[in-house]
Amino acid sequence: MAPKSKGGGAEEKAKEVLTAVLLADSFTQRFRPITVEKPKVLLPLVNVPLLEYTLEWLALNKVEEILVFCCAHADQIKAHLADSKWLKQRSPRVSTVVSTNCLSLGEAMRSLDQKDIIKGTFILVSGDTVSNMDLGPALAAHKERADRDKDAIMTMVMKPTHEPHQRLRLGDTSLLVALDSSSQRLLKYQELDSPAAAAAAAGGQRDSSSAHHGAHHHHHHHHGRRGRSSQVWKLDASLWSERDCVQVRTDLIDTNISICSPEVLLMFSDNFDYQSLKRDFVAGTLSEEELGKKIHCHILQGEYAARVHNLRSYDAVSRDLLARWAFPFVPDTNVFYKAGPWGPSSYRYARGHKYLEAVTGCSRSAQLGRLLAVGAGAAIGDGCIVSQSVLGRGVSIGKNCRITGCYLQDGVVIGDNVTASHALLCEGVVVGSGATISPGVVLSYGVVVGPRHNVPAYAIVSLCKQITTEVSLSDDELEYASAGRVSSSSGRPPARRARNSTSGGGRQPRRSNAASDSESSSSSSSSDSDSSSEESSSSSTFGDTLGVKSMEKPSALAVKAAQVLAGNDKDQKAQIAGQVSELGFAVHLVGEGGAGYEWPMTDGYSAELYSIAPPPMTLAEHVYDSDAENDAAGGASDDAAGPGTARGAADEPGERSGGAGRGGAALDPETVFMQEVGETFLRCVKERFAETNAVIELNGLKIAEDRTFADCARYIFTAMLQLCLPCPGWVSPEYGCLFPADAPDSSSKDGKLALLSRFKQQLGEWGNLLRRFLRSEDDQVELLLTLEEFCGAEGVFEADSSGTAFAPLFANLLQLLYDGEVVEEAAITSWAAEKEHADEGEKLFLQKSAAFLAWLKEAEEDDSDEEDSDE
Amino acid sequence: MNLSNLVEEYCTQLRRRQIKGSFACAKKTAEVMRLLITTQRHPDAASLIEDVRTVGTKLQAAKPVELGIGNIVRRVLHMIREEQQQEQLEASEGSSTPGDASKGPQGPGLLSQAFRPGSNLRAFNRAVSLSNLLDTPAMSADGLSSSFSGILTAAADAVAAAAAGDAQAADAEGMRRQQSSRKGRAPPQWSSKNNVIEMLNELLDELDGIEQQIAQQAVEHIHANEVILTYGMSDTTFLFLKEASRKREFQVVVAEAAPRFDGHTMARQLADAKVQTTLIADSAVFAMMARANKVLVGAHAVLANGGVIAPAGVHMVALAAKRHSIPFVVLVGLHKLSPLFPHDPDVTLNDFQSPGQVVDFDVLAESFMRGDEQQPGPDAAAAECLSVEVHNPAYDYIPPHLISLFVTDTGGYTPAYVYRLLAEYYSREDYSLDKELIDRMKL
Repeated sequence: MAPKSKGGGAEEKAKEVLTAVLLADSFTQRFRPITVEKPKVLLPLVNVPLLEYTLEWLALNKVEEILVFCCAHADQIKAHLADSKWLKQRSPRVSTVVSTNCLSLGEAMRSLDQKDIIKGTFILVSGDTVSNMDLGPALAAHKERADRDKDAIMTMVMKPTHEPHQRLRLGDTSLLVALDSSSQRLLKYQELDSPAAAAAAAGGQRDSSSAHHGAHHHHHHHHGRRGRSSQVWKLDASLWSERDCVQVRTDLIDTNISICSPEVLLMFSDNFDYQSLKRDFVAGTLSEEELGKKIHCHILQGEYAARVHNLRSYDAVSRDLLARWAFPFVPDTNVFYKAGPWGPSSYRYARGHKYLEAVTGCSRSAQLGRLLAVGAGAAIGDGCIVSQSVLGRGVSIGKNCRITGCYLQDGVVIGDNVTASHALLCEGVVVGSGATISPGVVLSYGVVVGPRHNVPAYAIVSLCKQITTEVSLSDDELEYASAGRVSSSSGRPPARRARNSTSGGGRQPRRSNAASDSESSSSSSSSDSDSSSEESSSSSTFGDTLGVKSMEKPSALAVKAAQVLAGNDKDQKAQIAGQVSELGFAVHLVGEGGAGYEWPMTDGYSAELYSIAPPPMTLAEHVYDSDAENDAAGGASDDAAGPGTARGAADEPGERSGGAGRGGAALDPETVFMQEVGETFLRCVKERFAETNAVIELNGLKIAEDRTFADCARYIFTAMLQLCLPCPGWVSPEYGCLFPADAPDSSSKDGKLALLSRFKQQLGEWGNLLRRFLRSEDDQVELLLTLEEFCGAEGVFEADSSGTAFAPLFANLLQLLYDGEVVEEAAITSWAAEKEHADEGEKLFLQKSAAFLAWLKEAEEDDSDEEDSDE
Repeated sequence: MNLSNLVEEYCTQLRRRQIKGSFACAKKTAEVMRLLITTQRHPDAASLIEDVRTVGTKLQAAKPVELGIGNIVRRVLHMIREEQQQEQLEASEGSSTPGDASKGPQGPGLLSQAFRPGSNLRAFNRAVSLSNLLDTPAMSADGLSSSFSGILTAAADAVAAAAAGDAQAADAEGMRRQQSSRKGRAPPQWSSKNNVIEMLNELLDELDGIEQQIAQQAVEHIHANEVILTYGMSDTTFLFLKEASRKREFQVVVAEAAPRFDGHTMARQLADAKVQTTLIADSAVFAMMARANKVLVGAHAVLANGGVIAPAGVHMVALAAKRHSIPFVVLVGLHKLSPLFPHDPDVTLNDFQSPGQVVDFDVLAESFMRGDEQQPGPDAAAAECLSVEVHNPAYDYIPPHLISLFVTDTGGYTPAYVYRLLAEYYSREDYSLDKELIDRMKL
């Protein structure tokens, strides 16, 4: 980061290689259970692995070096690349960076920084980006800015959309962005309705939307369409202070394509708690304005850019590709590598956006509708009606089927008279004759659906058995609580996030009435005794793997059973009948003679909104209300007792007034924040952290909660004051030892002195820390106002009146703060000036400190006198 | 980096439309061909032809709509064939030349006797009649021979036999094995290869000078105070007009060419070059045509029947010109001259580009919501999600009767003359590059 000599910089620029970092893992779980067996980037989109679109697009933009960063399933990604054209070509050079233990983007960036591979400007994309955008202008603009200003470290690419339903179509979340109109500098970035954002806004209230559909409708009557209005998003007025014009936009879709300077990696290393790019890095950079780092935006015009980050966008982007929006990335340019028994890709375009590969066996009586891609070797039987679908290579469809909006991957076999709409069927799925597949269904690899069975809407079926974890984290949580994926049993998420785990636990009973109890969620139809036998069988099949809760593979037994069930051999079927019943497949989903386990929808993630099928109209209208309801539903949660009791067993019983406070009337977010700052500070005190580490800890909290420095300073200060008094109620007992046992009698003179000396000691130890968080005079005034509130037991301190002990000592405290150089004279005078016009009742402390103020004024005059006399 | 990887890389670039424009594609193809000829070892002409054809087919398949690729391949093949024939003539002249002993089943030299004074087979190529030209390309040497007199028949048969014999031997696999096995002993190179390379270098130079060559004729075609109408942006047209503007005063009317609107760029560049320019909407072309003296457009490809593939919208301009009896002049380099007919299955006439140029992406969201009025379900299976389909074709086909004149780098020609140009630049055997197709039709 140290500024290099100008000459050297120029030389470097001349030979700078355009590099791209492609993250082959989005660190989310939205494609589970498909991603349990295969990485998302290898999921075929219009019969081509997702990764290829991103690589092709980067190659189109003449990127010279592509680093594919692999985490989960790194071996599969490497195998795919080794097999492809990429490793054979000179440009771009594609290489893989494997780091299997990364669980978030932040860790990936830190790992890259350690490896020290990236020297210059790089493009950061995830491996699920589909775009035909020309990066040239954005890159040029970024470089030009970076040359002028070393602090312009990142350019984010955004795409405007004026139609509100576009987000719904792409399964995207709403976004609020504030931009400086002239420089396109990003001033504010706020995700509006992602579950995590809602959670943060509600002061830790986790939403639990999926389980609360009943509640949804109920609340609708009250809130109507104005539900959202309960959420207020604040924009700092200071944004306008330095600028003539600020754009506040909600029409932008974040493409997740960013152009970064190498400093970005350094910043991830410096802030080791950054996990997500947007929630931590961008939010952090924007809030730490004094560091001067700048993020800019590039707004796309007319070009296509989208991410496949959930099933909804999978459907939407597939359609866009078929309708040629991402030209030249359309099937008939045959850009994409595809080998196998049918040779290279050979699509030809036909009217109505139909793409057929050279060798397909379509019956003459089959009707092929619009928006259709059919891979080589696919066979479509007599009388079928197929439209808006993608059929992989070697797909076989029987007679008289109706297939609409379905994605059938390579080798899917469908019997006669099957009706399927808006579903995703992975490789090797077999659907028996006469079956019906309802909208929103996802059948993972090798699942078998029995004949004449109706698979209910939004069912998700896999041959892998979901081993229910105690803490089921949604994606958004996962990005924070990185411990989630590996195992939840081995170590709780960090203390700060602990409440998430409780609310997760609280959801479980709710889910149980939907399917069955948590451990045997796959077989609701079986009786209790069955489910226990199923447990034993599963433990035998999974053997050791059960211990580490690995879900990388379906059990061999299940796969074998599925294969037999998919075949036609009656004898074999009869033979394994016993085994099958033991395996306990979800018969209500896959029918008799089917194979597959149920996977409940990820929590906090509406099935209808984000499924592969278009959301129902009714839901679409209310999309912008749902979060407000979620909050309300969460607030009125009737199973609050769940988390409450769970808490009781935990090691912090008294913490933050327990679970009940969270379940019932929500705690004031300000109070929660005060307590969080207090606890963090106390932890620093207890573990004797160095000041710099304490700053980092508190800074992390500040960023996570999106607060200002003054906010932190206030509560650090009050915590310091409280350390002079006996332990207040909200502090967890582990920190109790830090507090003195007795309360000095503040009415007596000795007591006063004792209290003051205690505070002086605290100030001596932590005064520097406090000073680090007081960035301006305004912050200092804020601190004084807090002191007032604290002594008067007002506002957030109302519940805890211990502060009144300091009330008689207000002037002395002022003096100490002044002497300790925590608060400057100017701040005190401006505080006094502010208070001058307040009501009489509020002047109480002003009067108390009148003597001090007078002395201060005198001293000042003396100073100026001296200066005068000096002249 | 071996050649096959390089070819593969070039194919990928073509597929992802990284190389834009027929000129760039033609040039790059010629460079790949030069590399192929210079770096690989070929004991005789037949193996070289085979190699060039294989690679050429691959390149053309990577971007079927870019006919210029195939044209360059055919020209290279033609050069090799000419050189081969030349060599055979020489060989039969002085049968004592040591080099010819290894040459395939060379006939007794009837042809050479017949043509000894002229001694160039180009003449024989050129003598193709119009009716003959319309035969399928696969007829090649055999079909050709039928239309010739006795002497020629024998000669052509000999040539064909030579080619066929070599072709059989030169089964791609076998050839490669043969090559690799010989590599240790450094097999003899085909002696005339250097001539081919020389000619290829000339071709590359020619390609570079093509626009200049066309532009130099500008003064002959544009007269003082004329009103020239053009459509969209074309580098050739721009240079042509710019060159003319140095000697003549005239006006240019530019149609904007929606949805790409490259007419805007054209108008700006012309204005910068101090040409008096008027920009109009495409819909005003017909009305404006009455005032124009001449229409000048660039083209993407010229087909064997004299028809043209040009940017979408040019057909409309051509029809308007015809209606007003205004000369419609197409400026093309001869690298765009293709021996294929518009009805040929090998010709991909069009490229359908992103609808994003035509409508905003938001239109999808609107129709998405409309499509949702029917709940997804079995009964809604037939319900279409998108009620509007947006198309954005890149090219138009303009039939020959609408074209008054081609201005090429070698001068002006009428569409009716195209067949003669074809005979000059390409060998009939190469009209279809796809070897499988030829084999199938021969059977």
